[in-house]
Amino acid sequence: MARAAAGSVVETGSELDAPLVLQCVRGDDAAWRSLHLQYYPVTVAFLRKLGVGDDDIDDAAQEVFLQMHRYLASFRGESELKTWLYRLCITEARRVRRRRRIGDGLRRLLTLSPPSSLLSSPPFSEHSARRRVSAALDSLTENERSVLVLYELEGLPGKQIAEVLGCKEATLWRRLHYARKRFLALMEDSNVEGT
Amino acid sequence: MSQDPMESPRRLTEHGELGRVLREANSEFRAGVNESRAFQRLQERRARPALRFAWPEFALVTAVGALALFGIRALRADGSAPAAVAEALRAAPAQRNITLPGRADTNSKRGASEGEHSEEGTHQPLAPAATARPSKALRSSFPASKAPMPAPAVSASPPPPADNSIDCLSLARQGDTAGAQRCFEQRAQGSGLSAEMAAYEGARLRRDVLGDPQGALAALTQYRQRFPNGSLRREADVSILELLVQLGRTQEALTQTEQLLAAPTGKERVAELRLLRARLFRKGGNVSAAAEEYRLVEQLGGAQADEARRRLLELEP
Repeated sequence: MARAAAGSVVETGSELDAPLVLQCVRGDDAAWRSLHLQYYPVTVAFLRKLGVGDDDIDDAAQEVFLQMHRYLASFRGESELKTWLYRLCITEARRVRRRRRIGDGLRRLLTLSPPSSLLSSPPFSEHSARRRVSAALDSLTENERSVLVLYELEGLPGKQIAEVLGCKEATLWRRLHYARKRFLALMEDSNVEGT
Repeated sequence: MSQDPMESPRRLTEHGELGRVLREANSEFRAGVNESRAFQRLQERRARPALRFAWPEFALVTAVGALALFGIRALRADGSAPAAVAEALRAAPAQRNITLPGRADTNSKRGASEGEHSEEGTHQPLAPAATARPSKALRSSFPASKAPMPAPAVSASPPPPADNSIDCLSLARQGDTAGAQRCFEQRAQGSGLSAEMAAYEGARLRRDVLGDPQGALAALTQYRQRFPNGSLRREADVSILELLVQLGRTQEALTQTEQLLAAPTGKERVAELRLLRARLFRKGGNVSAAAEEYRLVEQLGGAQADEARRRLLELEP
């Protein structure tokens, strides 16, 4: 099965990733190291942009690579490896967010106090670009955030984003339109507050 | 933003000042990544059997699914309402006039784009229907900060008993709390998931609507005895703990925290539970035990460690 899957990678997949994926599927540890080296920073950065906090980032990134390790043999190479990686990240970020919400709910029940996230929203006074952007992204819906991050920060073309998100390109542009509108307004607000 | 939403826009990173901020943020997002340590951790994790980390996920998903399905709002502050309840309410013929925020218009051109934003809509709290508000007594005993029951059906006559617990909740919403209680009790007599849910919801009704913590505690204890492996067992355990704290039964609350800490799900929330134990010990005047709990939280690290450290300093003479 692994051979068949790997074969399909060579025939139809990204030319750049195909040999590496093939070696990984064959169980080559050095290839795994190389794949990790290449994609781990991308994964961490993307998860951060999706709102995964510093407390969860290591575990979330690890989970993405575990998923990759588990299912790489069945990766058919019909899309780029990076597209698949983005999809895994989006799923993982959603899982972390859900888990975090349950945790916050439980914490409220137990400590009878507001969740820490309400108390420690990033102050604009720190003026860090990441904080400002993160705060604006936090105010978007999950779909808006994904599309905005993929287009504006990751610089992906529309077709690939549509593939990652599993939607039509027309839908994607519409989502981006509304996401940008809100994002720009929020960034403007933060600029006013920061000054 | 007068641009056609269907066109591929110029990227924001190419805009002047904003573009600079975004590019800067992009590089900050990539900063501080320790790849080699992460790879080492990954190798260690890969060596472990998959079952060890798969089952807590399963438990979480099951618990969340059960909560969403039966309209129990696990989250209060962000005001999210389970989509399953929204769907159930929309599907009920008598309740079609209930408007959920963000879903008022579904047939205009704009409706298509609203549809995409529908996630946002379903996560809003359910709005009570203006024509059928709950009684004043019910509203006053049901604080706004608490998770609201699903909105009432608009109907000239009281609805007949239905086959699921959502209808019992509708009775409560209409002010017929006694009827709702009877409804839950009746359904709890049966077996299976619906009986389990009814037993739990009955307890919640006592706690949140009737303001009867003693009765709620008794009902939850009974629930736990009847359904020791129930899908809402952990939720019931936490509710019992909350009620024990509320009733000032400190010793029993401490015992309950021990049980929760021993449970697999409690291990995930060990810091919160230990902070609560510390609070209970402090309340009981046992400062050394409280300090010990704070130290344990401090050793755990993470977000709660700072609070524990601060509390420890407070305890110092």
